[in-house]
Order: sequence, then structure tokens, then C-alpha cells
Amino acid sequence: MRVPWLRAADPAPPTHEDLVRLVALGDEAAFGALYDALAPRVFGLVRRVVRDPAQSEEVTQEIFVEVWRQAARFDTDRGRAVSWILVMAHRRAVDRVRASQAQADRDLRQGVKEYRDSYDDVADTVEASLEAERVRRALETLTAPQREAIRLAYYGGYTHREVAEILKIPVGTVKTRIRDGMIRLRDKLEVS
Amino acid sequence: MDEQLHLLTGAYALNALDDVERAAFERHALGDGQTRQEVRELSETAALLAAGAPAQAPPPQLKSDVMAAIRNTRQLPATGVAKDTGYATVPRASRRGWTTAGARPVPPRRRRLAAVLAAAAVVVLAAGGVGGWVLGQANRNSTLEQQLGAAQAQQHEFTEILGAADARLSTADVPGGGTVAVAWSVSADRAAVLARGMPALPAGKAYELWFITAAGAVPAGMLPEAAQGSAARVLQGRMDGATQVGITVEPAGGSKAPTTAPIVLQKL
Repeated sequence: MRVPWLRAADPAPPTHEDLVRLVALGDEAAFGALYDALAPRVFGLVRRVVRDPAQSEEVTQEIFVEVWRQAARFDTDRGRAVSWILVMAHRRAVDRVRASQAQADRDLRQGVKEYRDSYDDVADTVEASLEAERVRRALETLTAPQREAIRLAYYGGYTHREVAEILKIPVGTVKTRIRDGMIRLRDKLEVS
Repeated sequence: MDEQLHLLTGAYALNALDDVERAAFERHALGDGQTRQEVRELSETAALLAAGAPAQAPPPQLKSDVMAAIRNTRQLPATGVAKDTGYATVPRASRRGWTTAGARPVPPRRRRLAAVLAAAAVVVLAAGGVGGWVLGQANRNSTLEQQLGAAQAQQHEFTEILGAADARLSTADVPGGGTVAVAWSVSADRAAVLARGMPALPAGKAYELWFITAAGAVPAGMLPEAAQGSAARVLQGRMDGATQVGITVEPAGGSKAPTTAPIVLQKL
């Protein structure tokens, strides 16, 4: 059968948002594609916060199962799909770090020393993606105390009270350092 | 501490609050629109910080594990999300970010159909202009009741199609954004369209549905005006041997024959 205005479907590759919408309809193939696209970023972030490889794998699996469960609740009005997933990933990673007995026993000072060392290694050796480079540049525009507080909280998984304890400064100071730094990052990275 | 809660937006976005502080922040500070907006932006910013951690491919086995896990995991319906209030109204159960615990396995066949039906029901309710969160007030408003009645009639028709033994479902991407799922059953002789994230149309235009037969395109009704770009509709008339379902952009009143190229053409 011929229809005069028949034309092939657009072959443009699906965006992450498209994939999440399909996942919301129970599409396992779309879920597999979403996993392939984002698992390295999710696992990289989780490894950074959780550190232990076996626990990082468990947490990564939990995160993707949550993506499957909650896909229908993803709302494009609230931002990009990748942000939704990475926010969820960070939250899970931080929860794991705080729940783990080994981490509960950790010496905060020792923790921050290790953390700083590993950060410097990473900054030197990693071939930075475009986005990583943008983030690195934006972080450089912060004051050193702002940057330190944000790194400890985000990559180290410490609460702002723990950050205050590590840095031996008042909690109120940490609060404003983190907020001022995040607002500056937002403006530099043009998040609106 | 209360008067300073709004200063915790940054720490909140970085997940740097303990459980007690987080609960206090969500209870008090997120009621304020300005604070909510700041939290939303800073959360997006925090997500970008993830790029500062080097990407690392997980072991290949993990993908098999994840795929096996989702086959035993029930998906949540889209209810419980209020569109206009951002992070503040994530329901209490999922207060810890977007995460909630506890999934119950269901048999795969049932799960799949249930997911489709749940999606259909949600879209139908949205199409009737009745968001899930309004349902509790429906009995106070007769217009709402009428809309609900129409929505229920549509839902009944969806059930007829999707409940048929030969029910089929296929999805297609819409150029310019959005996804359209077409559901049909030859035995029920009916078809339905579920559209999500469709591009908004200028005033006076609407999406028209068509059954395509060997003789040409037969009008099958208009897609209801989209709530957040989502709409659902059981096509008017019978499939009657149609080989395809098409969607075109037409004047809001509809056309007798397509006047533009179809944005979606789905084989039945």
C-alpha cells in the first residue's frame, strides 16, 4: 500500500530523556541502552565516594534498579535525565558510606588526607572529558576554602558538620562557604 | 536554627545534611518558592560535579546482574509527583532523594501488561484534565466528575484493547521530541495512542489521528490537548483492516483528509 505522504521514521538517536520515557513504559531494550550510556559515569562517581570496588558495584546496581522503578516519575520539567540519575547516584553512594561500619569508624583526619591524595592523583592522570574540564575550570574560580568544603562534602561524602570538624571551623562558616561556592558554580556553569 | 535553614541549600544539594537536618530543611525551608528554586538549581549544579569524578566502566557482569534484577522489579506508576512544586513535594516515602526501598517481584507477563495499563490510566486521567493529586477533591465538583466519567470510559476502552489476547504495543519517537505508543488488538478491532512529551503546537493547531487503509487515510479523532505533552486516546471507529496509524498536525477542528505529512506513522 502506498500513501503519498508516507515517509520513514526519523532515525535520530534517542536522547537520555527519550530513553527514560521508554523505560517508563517497561522497555527493557531502552533500559539497556540507558545503562550503556550512563553506567561509566555512575560507577565512576560511586567509586569516588564509596571507594571499595565491591560495594561500589552493589550501589551501582541499586541505582539502576531505582531508575527502572522510578522512570515514570522522572519529570523533564525538573531537569535533565542525566542529572536526575547522578543526583540519585550521589545520594545512594553517600548513604552507603555513612551506613558502612568501616566508614563510621573512620578517623576524619585520616579520611581527608587519603581523600586529598586520591583527588590529586585523579586530577593529574585522567584524560578529562569536555564536561569534566568545564567543571574543573569552574571549581578553580572558587576561593580555596569554598572549593575545599565542596570537595569534602561532595566527593568525600562528609556532612557539613564533619567538614567543620575536619577543617576546625564553625559549622555556620561551612554552611555559607558551601552555599556561596555552589551559587558561584551555578553561575559559572550557567545552570538555570 | 530555623531562621538560618534557608542557608542550607548548598549543603542539601550536596547531600551534606544528616537525616535530622534534612527532614527539618524539607519540612520548613522548602515551603518557600525562592529556596525551592535555589535548591533545584544547586542540585543540577551538584549533578555536574559528578563529571569531576573520572568515568569508569563497571565490570561487564554488572550489566547482566542489573538486567536480571529489573525483570523482577515492579515499576512505580507516575502518580505522586506534583509537577509545579519541584523537589519539595517528592512524597514522604521517597524523601531520601528519589530513592525508595522494597520491590516485589511479579510474573513477567502480568508485570508488563500491568505497567502498560498503569501508564494508560495515568495518561487518560491527565488527558481528562484530572491530575492524580486532584482526585481527592473530585466529589466537590461536578465538572470534574464529568471529566472523570469520560476518563473512565476511555480507560474502559483501553482495557478492552490491552486486555485482548492479541494485544500489541509498539512505540516510536516523534521528530522534535516525544514518544508515541500505539496499542491495538485485531480481535477487539480497536487501536489507541499514548503520547508523551509531544512538541507543543501553536494556537489553533492540534494533532489528528488517522487509520490508514488501502483506500487512504480515515479520520480517527483528535488527540486531546496535551497536559505536559502527554495525551491518550482510543481511536474513533474500527480498525477495519487498517494497516497503519498516522498522526498529523491539523487545524484544531480537524481535517477530513491529512493536509500535512505525518509526524508518526505506525504499522499495525
